Formats: sequence, C-alpha cells, structure tokens
Amino acid sequence: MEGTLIWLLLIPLAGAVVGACLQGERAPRWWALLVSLATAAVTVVAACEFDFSASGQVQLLVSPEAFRLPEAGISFTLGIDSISFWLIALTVFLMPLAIAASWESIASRRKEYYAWMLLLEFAMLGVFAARDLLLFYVFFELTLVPMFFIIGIWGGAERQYAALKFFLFTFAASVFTLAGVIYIGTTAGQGAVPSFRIEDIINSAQSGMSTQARYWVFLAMLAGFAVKVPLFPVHTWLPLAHTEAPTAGSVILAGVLLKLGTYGLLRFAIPVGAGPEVLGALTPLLGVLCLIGIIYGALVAWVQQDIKKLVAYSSVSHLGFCVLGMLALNQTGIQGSIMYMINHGLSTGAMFLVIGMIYDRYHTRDINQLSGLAKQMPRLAFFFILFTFSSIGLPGLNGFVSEFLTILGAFTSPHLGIGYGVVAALGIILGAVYMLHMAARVIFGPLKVPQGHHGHDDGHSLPGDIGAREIAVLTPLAAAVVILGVVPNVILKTLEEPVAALIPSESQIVMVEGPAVVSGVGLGE
Amino acid sequence: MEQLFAVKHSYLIPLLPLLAAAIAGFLCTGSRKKLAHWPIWIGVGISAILSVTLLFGMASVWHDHHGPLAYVQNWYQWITAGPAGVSGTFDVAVGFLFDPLTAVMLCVVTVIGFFITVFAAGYMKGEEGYFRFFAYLGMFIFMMTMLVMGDNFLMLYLGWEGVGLCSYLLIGYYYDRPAARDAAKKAFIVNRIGDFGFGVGIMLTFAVFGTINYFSPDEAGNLTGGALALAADPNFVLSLPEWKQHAIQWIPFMLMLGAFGKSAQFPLYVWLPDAMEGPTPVSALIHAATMVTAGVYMIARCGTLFVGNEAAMWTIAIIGAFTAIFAASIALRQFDLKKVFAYSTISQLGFMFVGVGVLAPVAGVFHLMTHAFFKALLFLSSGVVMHAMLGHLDMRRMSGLKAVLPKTRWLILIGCAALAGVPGLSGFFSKDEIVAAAWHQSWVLGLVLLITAFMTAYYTFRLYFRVFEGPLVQPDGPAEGHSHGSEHDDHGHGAHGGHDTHGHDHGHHNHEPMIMILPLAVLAIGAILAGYVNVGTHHLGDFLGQSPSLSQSYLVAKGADYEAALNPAMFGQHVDVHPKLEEDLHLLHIRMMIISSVVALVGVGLAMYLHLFNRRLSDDLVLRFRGIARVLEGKYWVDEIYQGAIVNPLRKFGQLLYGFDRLVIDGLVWVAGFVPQSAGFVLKLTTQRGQLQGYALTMMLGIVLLLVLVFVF
Repeated sequence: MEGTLIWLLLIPLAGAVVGACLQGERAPRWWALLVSLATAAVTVVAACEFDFSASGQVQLLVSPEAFRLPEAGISFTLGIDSISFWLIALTVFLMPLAIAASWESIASRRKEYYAWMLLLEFAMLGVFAARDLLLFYVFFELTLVPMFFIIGIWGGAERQYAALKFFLFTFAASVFTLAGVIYIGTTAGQGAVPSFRIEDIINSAQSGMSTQARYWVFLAMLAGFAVKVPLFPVHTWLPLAHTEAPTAGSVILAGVLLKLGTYGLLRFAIPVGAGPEVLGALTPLLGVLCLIGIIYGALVAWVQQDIKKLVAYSSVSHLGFCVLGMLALNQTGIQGSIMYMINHGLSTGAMFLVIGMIYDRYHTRDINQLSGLAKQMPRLAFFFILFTFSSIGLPGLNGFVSEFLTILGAFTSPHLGIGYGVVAALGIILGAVYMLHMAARVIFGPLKVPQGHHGHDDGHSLPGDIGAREIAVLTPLAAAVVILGVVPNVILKTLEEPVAALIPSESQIVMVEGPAVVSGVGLGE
Repeated sequence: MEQLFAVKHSYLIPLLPLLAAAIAGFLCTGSRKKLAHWPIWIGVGISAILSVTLLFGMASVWHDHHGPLAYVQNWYQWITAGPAGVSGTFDVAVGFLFDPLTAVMLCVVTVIGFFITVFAAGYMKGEEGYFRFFAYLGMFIFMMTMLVMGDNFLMLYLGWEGVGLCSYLLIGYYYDRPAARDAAKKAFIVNRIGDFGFGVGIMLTFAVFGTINYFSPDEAGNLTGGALALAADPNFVLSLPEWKQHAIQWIPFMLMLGAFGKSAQFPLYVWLPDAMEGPTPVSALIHAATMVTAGVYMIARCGTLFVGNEAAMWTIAIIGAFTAIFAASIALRQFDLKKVFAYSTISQLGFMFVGVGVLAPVAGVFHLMTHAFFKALLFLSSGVVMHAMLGHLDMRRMSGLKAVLPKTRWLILIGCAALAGVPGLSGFFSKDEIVAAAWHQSWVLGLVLLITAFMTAYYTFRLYFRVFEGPLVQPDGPAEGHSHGSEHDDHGHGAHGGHDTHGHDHGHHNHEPMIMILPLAVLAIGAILAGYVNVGTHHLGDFLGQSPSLSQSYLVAKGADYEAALNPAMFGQHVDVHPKLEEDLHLLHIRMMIISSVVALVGVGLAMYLHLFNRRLSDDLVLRFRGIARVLEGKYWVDEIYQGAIVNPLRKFGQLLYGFDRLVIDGLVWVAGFVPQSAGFVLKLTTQRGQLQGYALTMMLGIVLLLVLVFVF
C-alpha cells in the first residue's frame, strides 16, 4: 500500500472528523469501533510491509512533497523502526478495546467522546511514527488536548481539577522540551537553515555540539519526558488524572500516553545525552530517582483506599523499572525497557478495564466496600487474578520478562551496577504486597455489598458477572499477556538491532570502570 | 539416552497435565463439573507413566555403561536480549535436563501427585469449586514438572513461582474465608521474599558466568559449558577477575534464600502452618510431598556451586538443624492434626537441608522421597478423619477413632511409624543416613537431629494414641463456621458451602470410601518399602550420584577423600574411594541406626505411656510446666513479632509517604515553578482566568495553525 503510514494517521483523523458530525446515539460508538479496527488493520498491513530482518532501519518512510518547509527545516516525515512499530501496535491494539469498554459506561455526549478518542489515537500514532523532531513534538502536545477533554468532561467527581492539573503539569514541563527541540534543531541544520530530521539531530548532538549544550538540551528534554513518564518526584499529576479519568481514559493514559515519555527519552534524550559527560554523569542520579520511584510508588500504592489510585501509584513504581532499564544503557536493559513499555500497557491497561467493570456495577472503588467479588463474578475474578499476576511479574506471563530484563540490565550495567539491581529487585516483593493486598480485599474474602448499593437497580439482586462484550474486551488482553510471557522473543528478537543502534558506541561504554566520576561538565559547580 | 521414548517426547510430561488443567478449568464447568477429575487423572496418569519409564530407561542406560548420566534438550529460545550467540547476551531457552536427580524428582511428583488426585476426587466430591480445584492441581503438576525438568535457572524460577501461584490459589481455595485468603497472600509474599534472593542469585550467576544454563553441551556433546559445569572448572574460576571470584561466594547465599522460602525454613517458615487452610489433598501434595521440597532440590541441583563453599554449606546445615528442632518443639503442643503435621513437615525439611548441607545430598533427596510417601499418607489420612468428623481436627475432642475408622487407623499407624523412624520403615533408613552424615561432620549437628528425632517420635505417637486409641470420643455436630473442610459434604449439597449444618448421622455413611482408601494403601506400601531402594546396595544413591550436580558430594558420602572429591579438577573423573574412610562411615551408619532405633522407640514408648495409659499424668505435666507449654502453643510468637516489627511499621511508613506525597511533593512541585509559569501562560493566552477549556482550545488552535503552516509551505 502506498504510504501506509499516511493511511495509518489519516484514518483515525478522518474518523474523528466524520464522527464529530454523526447523528444519533448509537452511531458514534460503532463508527469509532470501526475506525479503530480499520486503523488496526492498516497496522497489520504495515507489519506485512515492514521488513523485520532489517528492523533497525527506518522503513515505510513517507515524506510528502507538499508538506515540507525546507527553509525552516521541517517536514512531515513518517517512518518506523521496530521500536516504533511495536508501540504503534500497542496503541492500535488497546484503542478498540478502550472504545468497546466505553460502550455502556459513557452515556453522555457520546459523539464528542468518540471523536476525541479517535483524535487521541491519531496523535499517539503520530508521535510514534514521526521522523521529524518538531513533528514529534506537535503530536506529543496534541495528545494533551483530547485527553484533557476526556478527563475533564467524562471523568469522576474531581474531573475538572484533575484535567487542569494533568494539562498544566505536562504542558508546562514540555515547554522546556520545546526549547530544547528548537535549540537543537537550529544547530543541527547546515548554515542558517535548521533541520529537525531525527538523523540530523542525533548526528549533530553526537558530533557537533558542545558538551555543555548537550547537557542543557538533555535536561530540557528530560523535563518534559520525565513528567510524562512520570519519574519521581514529578509524578503527582498521575494518581489524580488516572483516578478521575473514565475507564477508557485511564487505559489509554496508562497504556500509551505514559509511553510517550519513555519513548521520547529513549529516542531523543538518550542519544543526545550519550557519553560520559552527560548521561554518564547523570545516570547514577536518575537511577536513584527510579529506585525511589519503585519503592515509594509501591509503598504508597499499598495504603490506598481507592483501587484505581492503587493501580495508578503502581504505575509510578512500574515506570521506575522501565526507565531504570533504559538508563542501564546496555542491550539487556533497553530491550527490557521497551518490553516493559508494551507489557505495562497491556497489564495495567487491563487492570484499569477490570476495575472499570467493577465500578460500573458497584459504583465504588473503595477497597473497604468491596469484598469477595469472586463469589459473585467468577469470570471477572479470573481476569483480575490473571492481570494481577501479570503485573506482579509471574514468570510465564508478560510482566516477568520485562521486569527481569530491566533489573538484569541495571545489575550488569557499568553505569548503575549491582546495588541498583538489588534495590530494584526489592520492588518485586513490594509489587506482590500491594497487588495481592488488593486481590485479597476485592476479589477474595466474604462477599460484601457496598453501602448504598441497596435499592439500586432492581432492589436486592447484586450485579451479575461480566457479559460477552466485556469478555470480548478482556480476552485479547489475556491472550497477549500469556503469549508475550511464553514467547517474548517474538518481540525481543526484532528489538535487537534498533537497540544496538541506540546504544552509545563502544568508546563511550568503556568509560566507567567503577563509580562514574566525571568532571568538567561545566554545570557551574 | 536420547533414544528413550520418554526423553524424545518429554514435552508430554508437563504439557499433558497443563492441557488437562485447561480442559478441567474451562470446559468442565456447570453441569460437567462432576467430570473434572477425569482429564486430570488421565493427564497426570500418563505423565506419571512416562516419568516412571524415564526413570527405568535411565537406570537401564546406566546399567549398560556406568558413568555420568545427563542429557540436555532444547525446545525453543525463550528470552533473548541482544545478539544471539555473542557472549554477554542474555539468552535462555525453554529446555530440559535429564539426569537421575530429575528422573527421581519427576517420579515423586507425578506418581504421588497421581494418587493424590485420585484421593481428591473422593474427598472433594460435591464441592462447588470442584473443577477449579482440579484445574489448579493440573497446573500445579505442570509447574512442578517444569521446575524439576528445566535446564537453567530461569526455568527453575518459572516453575518455582508457578508452583507458588498454584499454592496461592489452592490455599485460598475457600476464598470467602478470611483465614484462607490471608494465608494464601502470606504464602505468596513470604515466598517472594525468598525469591528476591533467588532472583538476585540468578543475576549474579549471569554476571559471573555469562550464562544461566546448568550444563550446556560443547560440540562433542560433553556437558562442559553452563554455569554449574563452569563453577566446577578450576581453570575457568581462576581466570575470573577478582570481583567475580568474590561474587561466586555470594551466589549460594542468595539462592538459599529462595530455598528457605519455598521449603519453609527459619526464618521464612511462617507461611506453611497457615497454608493448612487449603483443602487437605493440597496440604498433602503441595505443602508436604512436592512443592516444599523444591528448595532441597535446588540446593542439590546447584551442588557444584555449593559444595566448595564451606560457609554456605554450614549455613544451610545449621539453619536446617535449627529449623528441625524448632519446628518439632512447636509440634509437641499443637492440637490440630494438620498443624502437627505442618510443623512436622517443616522439621523434616530441616533434616533434608542438613542432608544437603553436610555434603550428603543423596541422603537429602532420599529422605525427600520417603517423606513424600509417608507425609502424603499422613495428611490424606487426617483428611479422612476430618471428613468423618465433619471438619473437626482438634485432637482434644476425639479419641479412640479406631472403632469408627478401622482402615484409616492402620494406614495412619504406618505413616506415623515411618515418620517416627521406627526401624524397618522408610523414614527410618532415610533419616538415619542424614543423621549419620551430620554426625560425621559435627557431633553437635548429629545430636540436635537425634533429639529432634526423639521429639518427632513422641509428637507423632502422641497424636496417634490420642486420636485413635483409648475410649471412643467423637465431636458433636459439624465444626463451627468455616473451620477446616466443613464444606466437604459427600451428599451433593456442595452449593451450601460451609454453612451446611444439616443433621449428620455418623452411622449412616461410609467414612472410608474406596476411592480414598485405595490411594492411601498405595502410599502406605510406599511408606513401608521406599526405604529399601537405598538400603544395603544403595541403588538409589549410586544412581543419583551419576547426576553431574551431585557427583562431587556423592563421592564424599561414599568415603572418597574429601579434598580429592571436591577438587574441581576431578569433576567428572573417577575418584578412588578411601577404604579406611568407607569402613569408618559404614561403622558410623550402623551405630547411628542402633542409636536412632532406640531413640525412636523410646519416643513412641513415652507417647504411649503419657497418651494412652496415663493421660492424666500428661495433663498434670502440662500444668506443672505451664510456661513452656504456653510458649510452644504460642509458637514462640514469631508471627506476632513479624507483624509488629516488620509489617505494621512498613505500612505505617507507606501511609507516611502517602501523606508526604500529597502535602509535600505535590505542594513543592506546584510551587516550584509549574504554577507561576503556567499561570503566566494562562493569563497571556486567555483573558479570563479559569476558563480552561478556552485555554485548551487556544492551545489546540495553535497546534492546528502550526500544522497548517507545515502543510502549506
């Protein structure tokens, strides 16, 4: 197909526009489902066209003549390597499920809702497919708008505050990123003409720029991405946004949007900062932030009353692993980190779906009000436990592979080392603690009717088990969770080449034998 | 060996139970629930047959040409991070290792597992979650076989955590009971603490050896590669940089943490007594016969990493001996049948750890095997008691049950005698080997074990004489509320769950249905005869000694020169047995047999006196030593200490952090720039404060404008 990636973006965009004009109550959701499935189908086409034997190369490049701005060095260039491909696959996989999960629970202003969802899909796919840094940034920011409305309109009680906080935090932080992007773009070009081509940017960063400039560009990029990830201590927008967002919003937020941050770090910040002077000096510190995030997120998750907030804080912990693996700057750690992005998207997305299904029935997420759901909803309990164990990192399920690889990466990394690995491994104990605490309270134990539930619906009967639609939503996730645990190499093998290309060259790795002590960075110390 | 059918088709051994579990779990719901045991019987049954043919096939291969026996089989690459085939790449396969240790473990797991599933079909009849129960059992057998067949540490970890999952699900089988739910959670988390060490051990192994395979074949097919082979290769070890040589010393300590968790050794044993909340067949299969022995298996398997490390070996032996006597002392004052056997299991696992710790892993594995028979028998028999007594397990409320349960009485007597170490039964021989090996290393260890053996004989027969002998006393009515197994109800009223309190007439029902008694009889025969596979001729020991993991310590146990056997240069080579040492060891064994026979019989005799002939005296004694009794009944309050010293403070800390998160961090982040900055933006972009939708729309417009600019120019 000519310009597959253009189609990939065009379909959800056009879908959003058309969807916004549709009439009727039922049409928008069917339309949205159809569009998201069509987008998924285009991804399958892209997968067929993508040559996985050369997965490190940027493929399916398109750069329409009409959309170029040579004077400003900007172009609408799309292209994917396998890292982008798998994140796109994650996005198009989660989107139809998120839409199907909104089927009943979104009852008001459906037309707008589904239009925003499709626009969000467009923006997310754009982030992963962009080969132009400015284009990336535009898409990166564009994701904020639909999510802002999704949280702000269809969210919970504190939705407006949550949406505001989400928007301001991520937007304000990414202003720094924009500054960095513009700066590096102007230095990357030839002469007076800037260039935002990713290749030029990275070349320029690794050859032309001064250490000090790279240092600041790295920090600028980090500012925006770290808030998005979110890294400790700039994570505080996340629990609120996750908790207040409607189910599908949380799914996409946790499943994909957080990965925009890790993707940005991996794709831009790390290559720009590569080398002993910048990353070498900062990884120990950033690694410590990740470790704090892992332990801190887990402990805070454990004491939550609201199960959605519990899962939200668990994301802080999980993303700590993800970034830690990346900072290991070795093949094991980065491959593990990319797997972590995918696996966290699947299992946490799934967890939010299940919690949403509980909320649809009981209208509470209070851990003290829910108990013994296994009795009433055995099928839901099955999925709940499966995704819980995926999240805990049970070998044989997906979470284990990425968790193990990221910790092993940190453990064997010359930048981080055994101490980092051991502390991160403590996180796997705490992961079991908070997840099983939730499972024990919500799924097991004597069946309890939430207060205020009496007289709801038709009086005494408790809500039933999940139905066919909900099973159809959860089953693909369950299958993915198992398959990626049993044969993770399906993805891992294809990540080998692009990751090898990302890793700083040999001379840069050798630098640290022991603790990284780098001087002369010019930070004004 | 690769020609053996069971090796060629080895994937069937784990996969059939898994498939069976899937059928039972997904298809045998609703009205087909009653059939759920069939797929499991068939799947586990075939698996057991294959395991036995594997064992005999290997034995005949060994018979034909003596020498090390091991064969590695790779199915597919599981996790590869980095370019394949390059050193430093983490590359691990789903693969199996076949050696005598694997074969023996497989047989224990699948054969005993099979008989327990047969028993369970009778025991769990009419349960609401019948299909669920059997699905978990099938999954457990799958995970356990993966655990013992895996050819690398990550496969071991897979099976290890997998059986942990099944254990979690099965302990929490009666999930609506808070006690069961909490016990399940506790089991998994305490095991995770051990697995933390295990995981770090695996990573250290990878960091040092660059591989986590146990043994991997070179071009000629010799198993010279792999972490366990390299650990025994002096050239390799000496060529390592200093920090790696140092790290090698730490690997066993990390791994043993995992073993202490899974095999319920001090200080991580606390989950096992609580695990008795699960249905009794589960206690028999998972928490006595198979899963909890995985730690012993691990240390035996990693023999080459452990044997040269004296500090590690002493740690294991001392922890094992301490756990043995500590748990046995608690068992002295327990009243719940299953709790007695639970502490007894912890204690017996301590024996096995001493075995592997004093360089006698063959003895450890031998005891593991005999213990699997008699402990499964004991648990299942107490299940029969519970079934008949409507959920009651308190030995203070029952007596003289031989009149009601005549068959069970004989079966449990055999089990008790084997556990107590009565001469001639299986437990006697295997325990004796460990005690002798321990004495050979240090008389203190030996003495501790002898005292423990005495306590074992006493508490075992205390239980027997209290419950089965003496005047007939039966508890009235079913056990209150949700106490153990009150769900079991063989009249098809399963749906009533634990609240089934209809009048139950003791006389009317057969308390000993054949489906429950037959498997018990088989286990009882095993409990009597299993010892003879390694008595006199030492067939089992010689066979196990051909495992590359065990060969070094096997030679030591045979009486080879300690230095020579442990010299890595001699790994895989023939080492002469020292005739004098062999003679000494033989004598020691004979002496120990006599001593431990006396110890066991005195223990039984004391129990008989205090609990059959003169029960009043035993009650008086308890009154006189009230303090000690209270400490034992309180189980030294270890659970309370953990709760107060670790769990509660940690949770408090979590709450503190949450407060900190909301007040301090959030506040700081707001203040530190985001708010003023963003407020500035808002003010600039929108005329009215607070109109955020307007703001967002402006932002959106800006982006669209930018896009348009890009597109147009």
